[in-house]
Amino acid sequence: MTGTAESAVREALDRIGRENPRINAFADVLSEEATADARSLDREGGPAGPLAGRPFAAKDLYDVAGRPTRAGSSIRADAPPAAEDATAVARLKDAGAILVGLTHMDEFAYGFTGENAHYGAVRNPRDPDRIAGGSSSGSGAAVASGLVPFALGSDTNGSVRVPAALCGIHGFKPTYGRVSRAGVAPLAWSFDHAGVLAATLEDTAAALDAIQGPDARDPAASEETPDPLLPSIGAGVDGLRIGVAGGHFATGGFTEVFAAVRRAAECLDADREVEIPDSERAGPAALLITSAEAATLHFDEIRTRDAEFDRFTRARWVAATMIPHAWVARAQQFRRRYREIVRAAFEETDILIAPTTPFPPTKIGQSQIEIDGETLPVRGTLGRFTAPFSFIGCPALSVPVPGEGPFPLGVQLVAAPGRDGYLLRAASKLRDEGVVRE
Amino acid sequence: MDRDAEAFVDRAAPVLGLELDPALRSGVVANFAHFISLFERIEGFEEADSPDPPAVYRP
Repeated sequence: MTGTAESAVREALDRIGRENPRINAFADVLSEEATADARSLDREGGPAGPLAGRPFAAKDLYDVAGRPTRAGSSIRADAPPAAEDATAVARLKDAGAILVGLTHMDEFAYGFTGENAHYGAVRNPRDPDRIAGGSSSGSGAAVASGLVPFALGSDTNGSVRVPAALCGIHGFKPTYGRVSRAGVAPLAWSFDHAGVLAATLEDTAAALDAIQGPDARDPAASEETPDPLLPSIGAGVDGLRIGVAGGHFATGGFTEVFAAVRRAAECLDADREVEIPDSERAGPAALLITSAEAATLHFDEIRTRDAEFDRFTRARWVAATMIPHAWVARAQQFRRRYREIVRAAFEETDILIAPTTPFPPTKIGQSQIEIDGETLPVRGTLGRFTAPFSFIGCPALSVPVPGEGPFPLGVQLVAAPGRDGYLLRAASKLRDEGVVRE
Repeated sequence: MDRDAEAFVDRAAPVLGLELDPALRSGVVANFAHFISLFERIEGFEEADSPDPPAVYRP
């Protein structure tokens, strides 16, 4: 770290004060706590390492001791304060990073646009009239506008990668179980992931290295300690078999997003197109399970306080309580089958390349978009390419690739579960070759 | 497949203890119709009748 932690935090707080009114990224700015933590670190020393004295933000569904965890809702605004920090927050603090604030999100993480009726839309730093993506909207906007170098998000069907793509930064959803979700308000327990959004690959990896590993507080957390990810950066792609995802992943988006995929594929010498059968069913199955699990978690609130839900999504919450169990069971059967299909694909290939989102950021308030002559809902289409991989726990990294227009485009790198380091090897080559711009 | 979202919503709501705000009803029906369409897209995949293996408990 150059300079003091206090000066780094003060600069971050100054930037937030100037920029946040324009983009609405932060729900809470923890000025006093962050300043005190920084002074303590400067006074007493602390852990050395890449995160020491670095400011960070967390999506407003991570528990922070002494504060209610709102998860973007008004219903939880008066919830009892959390007794302790979420594991990921605690581990970042243990590594010397300093939490400067909590970021806005779609209500209960059930959305992809960051438009929240209670707290306003998070605005894309590159064009405040456009969405930042969701549901880790504020984390994406805060990093993209340089307010903090990295932030915590969560990803159920794409909620780290979608805002990363639309804001032009990195977004890493690790293998299911690699990072503890303890103290993270759930949306769909069977495929919620904690993840990281960052401006650089180094910060992405350093933050993941700090938060990954076993945790008795999360029953889904892996019992094995994973290898650190930071050494993967710059390790090259020799020996990696890289392909472009075809079929479902090569249709249903703007031409420019597929052009970005081609640029990445050429740089990485991807020598194959990999068709993953039945991928068109994965998104629908994921959304059915997500909706049913989310409605189960919030059933009492839906039944007794539905008028307090976000007006953009209130009707969807109510309808989700009615999804028949037989449909969810069928979706779970498909999920097992799809996991086998993807596992077979990864026996022949180490990394798949696909778009992250089907289109660049839309206007705030825009509900529909035309793709290939078909009018589609923005909210329901943004996760087309991300949901299939969360659904089965694969690690996936969205990296920013400059497009022909004013917005960078997200290109997604995906590997088999446990192969998270492969993604950083490929991403760093893309950056070294100028295909990815930080 | 012809599934009647409106009838389903009207019958399910009271069973679930939900009092549907009349202003919200059409939105709930539209969303439930969307869930029907999602289900229709996953129907018919191979091995749909495969059993769900239970966890094996060992002392």
